[in-house]
Amino acid sequence: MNQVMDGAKTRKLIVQLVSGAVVGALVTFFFLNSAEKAADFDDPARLAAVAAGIIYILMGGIVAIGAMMPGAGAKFLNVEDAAEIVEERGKLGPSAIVCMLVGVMLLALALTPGGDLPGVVSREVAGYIAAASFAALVVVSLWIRGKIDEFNRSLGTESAALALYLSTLLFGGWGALAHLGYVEWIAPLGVLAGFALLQLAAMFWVVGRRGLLMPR
Amino acid sequence: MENRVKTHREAHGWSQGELGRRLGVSRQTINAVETDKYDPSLPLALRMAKLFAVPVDQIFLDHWEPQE
Repeated sequence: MNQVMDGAKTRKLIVQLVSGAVVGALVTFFFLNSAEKAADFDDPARLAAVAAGIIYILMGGIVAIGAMMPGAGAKFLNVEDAAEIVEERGKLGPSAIVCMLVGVMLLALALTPGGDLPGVVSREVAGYIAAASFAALVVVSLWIRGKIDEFNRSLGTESAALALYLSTLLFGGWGALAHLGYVEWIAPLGVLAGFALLQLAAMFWVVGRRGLLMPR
Repeated sequence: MENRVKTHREAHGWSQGELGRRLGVSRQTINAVETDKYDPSLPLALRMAKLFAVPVDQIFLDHWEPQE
């Protein structure tokens, strides 16, 4: 019986990893292809921001779909059953919104004019989108705080601390080298994308270390 | 930290979700405590002890001994 359960769990993990990678790669590919004539993706900072934005939007989208359709969500979210999704809806919904807002903010900024290209959105519009997303992000984040329990709060604190250490190491080290003239300083959008990606990496590291990435 | 949360929960016939509901935490939190992935806060440990009607040290086992 246990072997049957382990086999099912392993299959679920493989499906989650492979489908996530395939969907992510396809969306990024089509996105870059459809916007390449308007936005300068030779700029590594824009490319990093697009990649981070798509990852955040996909993550938020997947969680949102799972929260809206618990039966289906139980198959691709790391929960025991559909009932757990229903129990956790109050937390999953706002978390999905936060992820999507971060993604929208990064994408809007990455699609502004740059180089000789006109961009997909003007700087002004991107500014409004980013400001609105950031304001909504703060409101939803404060709203979530009352809905999560001590375990999730502990995961959040741990991942935020790790992200700070990683950011200090990366941007502090890079800043020192740039000051000494060994490297060029990163574009502002690169710093923003870097923060978003490091936060994501820290979160995955923390939940992975607690064994929470293993299928339940 | 080694614990006997699962034993006490099952003795009461509660699911992880039911225990979580009684304690005001998520099923994921109960699962993390039972599988030793998370040590609960002191208030949560005290609430568990109250709910199971046993002392905290019968739920959470600490093998530390003071040195002379």
